[in-house]
Amino acid sequence: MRAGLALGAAALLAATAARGADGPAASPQRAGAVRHGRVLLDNFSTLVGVPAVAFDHATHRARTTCRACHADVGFALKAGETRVSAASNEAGEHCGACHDGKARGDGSVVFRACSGWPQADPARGCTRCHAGAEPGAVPGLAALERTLPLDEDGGIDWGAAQRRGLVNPADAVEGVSVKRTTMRLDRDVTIQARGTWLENVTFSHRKHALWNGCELCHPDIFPVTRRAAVRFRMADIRAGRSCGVCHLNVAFSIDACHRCHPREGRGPGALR
Amino acid sequence: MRARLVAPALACALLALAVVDLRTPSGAPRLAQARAEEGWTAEFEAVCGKTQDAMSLTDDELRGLVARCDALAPAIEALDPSRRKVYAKRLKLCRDLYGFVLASRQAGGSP
Repeated sequence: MRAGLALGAAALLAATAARGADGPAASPQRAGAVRHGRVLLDNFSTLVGVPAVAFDHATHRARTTCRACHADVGFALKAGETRVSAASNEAGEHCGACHDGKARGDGSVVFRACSGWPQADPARGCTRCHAGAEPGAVPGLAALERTLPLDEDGGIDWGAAQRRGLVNPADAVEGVSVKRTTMRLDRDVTIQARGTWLENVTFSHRKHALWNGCELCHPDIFPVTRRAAVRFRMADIRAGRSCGVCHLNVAFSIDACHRCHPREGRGPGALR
Repeated sequence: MRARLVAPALACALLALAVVDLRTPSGAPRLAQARAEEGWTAEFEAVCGKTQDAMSLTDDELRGLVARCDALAPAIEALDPSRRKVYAKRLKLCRDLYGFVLASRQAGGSP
């Protein structure tokens, strides 16, 4: 009896330790890339002697939609492809499209990116972005995680946060974005699940279009849409293709199976 | 008397400033450059502002938009490197989407 209690207590302690100091249990993937959406940008930084930029999607997506940055400002979806430079930031493109040091309508001022380049001096605040490969805690993330709804993995549930009006990310960058209408295609698409105990995926254009534009996904990420003409495989997704372009490092983790496969199927290994 | 002398001098100075301001360092008239820029940016907005409507456009409208994207390319190629990089990517996103919707329809699918 005592041995059993001790074993139980040890198991509880181990489980508590595994949850970590900052909340719910986190897989290695969740603890790192997905939680922060951290991307290391190093086209030119280390070449000129400053640390690479550690960009965190998490804190930016509370303020702007994916579309504003990836369609309008022109950031590629793959790290390093955009070739951001201090010169382009100073010219008001890329990071400089928002980080321009000017006051916004609400009185806030976004710090100016790469101001004073090329006489880079860490004391000027360069390390705020050029934090290198081990940048440590993400400024502002803990506050967001305290105030916004979390999913079962402990990451911020951005969809729920937006539905509840807790975040209202800007869908346009002043002086950069074109005026758009609201997307009219809002139907769900059923993607048949084969060779798995999980049931079909219900893909919602409406949910995705809140953050993205059509042109972000089609045709680059999803080049074929004809029903049954393409098979989505988890191996491909895990390799960073199709859904994995976002759901490996920015959007909720692909380990949260039921968020795409809402109903569990039958058979060995069924969830829960 | 002094006012009579000051007013024309001030007007001349303002005119000189305006002339200087209308010329870029390379000597190209800035006003003309600005007008040319207004032309392509307005066209860019008109063309790429329809991406959300792509599904509801007719094939002819889509083909027209693809052609307008192609016609915009030279103006964007002429931009300075930073802007060129951004707008070339944005134009490609628009053009590819319109082409994609067209191709999907021809293949009998629907995005």
